[in-house]
Amino acid sequence: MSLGEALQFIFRGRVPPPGLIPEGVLDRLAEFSSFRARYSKLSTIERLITTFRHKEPDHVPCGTLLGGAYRQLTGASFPDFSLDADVAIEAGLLGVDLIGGDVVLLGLDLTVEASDFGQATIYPENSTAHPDYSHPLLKDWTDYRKLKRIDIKDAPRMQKVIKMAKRSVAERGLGTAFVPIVSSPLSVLGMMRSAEQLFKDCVLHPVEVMAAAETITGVLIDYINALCDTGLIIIAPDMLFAAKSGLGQELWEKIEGPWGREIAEVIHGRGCAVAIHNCGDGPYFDSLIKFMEPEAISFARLPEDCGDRKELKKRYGEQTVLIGNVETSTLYNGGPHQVMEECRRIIDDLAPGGGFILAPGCEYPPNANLMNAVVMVETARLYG
Amino acid sequence: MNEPESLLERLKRSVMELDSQALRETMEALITAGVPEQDLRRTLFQELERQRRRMMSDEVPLPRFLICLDLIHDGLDMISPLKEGEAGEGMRLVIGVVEGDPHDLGKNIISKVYAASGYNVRDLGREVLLDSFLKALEDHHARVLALSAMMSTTMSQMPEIIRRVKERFPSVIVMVGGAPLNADLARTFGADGFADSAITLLEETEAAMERAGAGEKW
Repeated sequence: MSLGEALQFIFRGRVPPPGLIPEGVLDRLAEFSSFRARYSKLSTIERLITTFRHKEPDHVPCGTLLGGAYRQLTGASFPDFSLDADVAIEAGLLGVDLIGGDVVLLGLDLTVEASDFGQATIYPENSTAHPDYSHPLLKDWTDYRKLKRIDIKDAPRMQKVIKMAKRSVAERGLGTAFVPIVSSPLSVLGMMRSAEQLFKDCVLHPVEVMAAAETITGVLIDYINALCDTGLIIIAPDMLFAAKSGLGQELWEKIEGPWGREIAEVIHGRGCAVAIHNCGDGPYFDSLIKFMEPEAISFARLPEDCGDRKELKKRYGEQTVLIGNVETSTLYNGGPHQVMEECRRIIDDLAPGGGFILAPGCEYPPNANLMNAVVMVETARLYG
Repeated sequence: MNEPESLLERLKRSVMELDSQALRETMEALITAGVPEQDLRRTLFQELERQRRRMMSDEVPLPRFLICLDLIHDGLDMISPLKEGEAGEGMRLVIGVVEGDPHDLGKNIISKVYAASGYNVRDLGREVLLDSFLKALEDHHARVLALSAMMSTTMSQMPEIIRRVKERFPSVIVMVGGAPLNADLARTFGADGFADSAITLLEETEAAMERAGAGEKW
C-alpha cells in the first residue's frame, strides 16, 4: 500500500488495514510513536500500532471486552440487545463515550453463527442468549454431513453484527479499534450438537465432524470478509477448544487446526490482525501460533507450559501480543480497589517491553458493575 | 486365557482402548464366570481413577476421558446397583446446574466422576430450581450438594441457594464449580469447597468434608 492509498483510508475516516502497510513503515511508525510517548499522549491507533509492533506506548492499551454489559447503559433488555442491532449500537457507542477503552468488543452474544445455521436459541430476560440444548440441530453424529452451507446475506444475526460494525467504524473508527468475535467452526458445532457430544464425536467420528467444520468454515470466511469490508482492522476468532479444557492438543491440531489456519489466512489476506480469544483452561498457545500466526492472543488462564505470567511473557511475549487476563470473579465481585490492584499486578508482569493489552480474561460479566470497567481503563491509563 | 484375572485385565484394557463391544463382552464373561460384583465394581472404579490421573498428567485428553466415563457407566449398568444401606454404598450426593443455565458439560463430567468413584449420585440435570434442590436433598438423604454454573449471570443465584440449603440442612456440604468461579468467590458465596475440574474434584470434596468434620472454617 502506498502512502497515498493509506491517506485515502484516513480521509474516509478509516484506519488503513495494517497488514497492507509495509512492515518497515509500521516499524518506523511504532518507533516514532514510542519515542513521542515519552513526551505526549498517543492516539488510540498510535498506541495500538506501537503495542502490536512490541514497542512501549504512552500507557498500555485497554480492551474492556464489554459485550452484553453495555446494555446496562441504556436499560435495554438482554433479548433487545441480542436481537436489535440498533439497540446494541446505541448502547455500544454510548459505552465507548462513557467508559472508553482502546479495543472495544463488537458482538451481540455467542449464539450468532449457530442461530443463523438454524439452531434454536433461547433469549432469557435476565441472562445472555444460549442455544436450546433440548433441541439440538445436530441430534446424531450422522447429522454432521447433512449440514448445509448458508448464504450470509440470508443470515439475519450475522447481518446485525455487520451492521453494528459498519456504523461503529463510521462513527468512531478513527478513535477506537472495534473487534468482532467470530466463533470457531467447532464452537459453532458445539452449540448445535452440545460440547459433550461434539468432543466424543471428535474421537469416534472425526471425518464427519471435519466435514461439518469445512461447511461452517466456508460460511465463516464469507462472514469475516463482510466484516473486513466495513473497515475493521482486527478480527477475533474464538478458539475455545484449543485448550486442555477443550479437545486436547493433538486432537485440536487434527480436527480444527487446519480450519483455524484457513480462517487466519483470510483475515491476514485482508490486511487485518488476528486476535485469537481463548478463555479455556490451559490454552495451547504453541498450537495456535503454529496454525494461525496470530498478532495477539486474548487469554483467561495460563498455557500449560507456563508456570506464571512472567514466564508466559518470556516464552510467548515476542511472538504475539498478550491480551488479558483480569479475572471474571474480580470484575463480578470485587470492589474498585481490588480490580485496580489486580490490574496493576498484571501490568507489572506483562507490560514491560510492550506487546500487551490489559483486558478481562473472558467477556466482561454482563451483570457486573460497570464501575469496574472504568477502573480497568483508568488503571491502564494512569499506571500502565 | 479366560481366567477371571485375565478377564479383569481385558476389562481394564477395553476401557483404555475405548472399546465398548469388548467391554460388554468381557463384563458378560466375568458375570458368567461368577466373579463377585464387588470385584467388578472395584475394577471399574480403579480404572476410572487411573484414567483420571492420566488426565491430570495430560496423557488422556478430555474427549477420551468422557468416552471412558461412558464405558465405565455402561459396565456398572450391567451389574446390580448397591441398595440403600448395603455395605459399600457410597456417600449420597445431589448435583445440578442452577436455574437458567443450560451448560451441563462440566456438571455431567463431575456427576459421572462422582458416581464412578462410588458416590451415590442423584443428578438433577440443568436449569434446576432452588425448590428442586431442597426436595432432592431431603428425599435422597444427601450429605453433599454439588452446584454448577457456567455463566456469570446465573452464578449470582448461588449465594441464595447455599443460604437456603444451609438453613434447612446445616450438615450438608456444598461444593461449587464452573468457569466464572474460583475458590475465593466460592468462599464468599458460603460454599464449603470448590473444584475447578474433575482432576481436583475428589480431593477437594474430601478436604471439604474433613474441614466440616473437624469444625474448621474454610
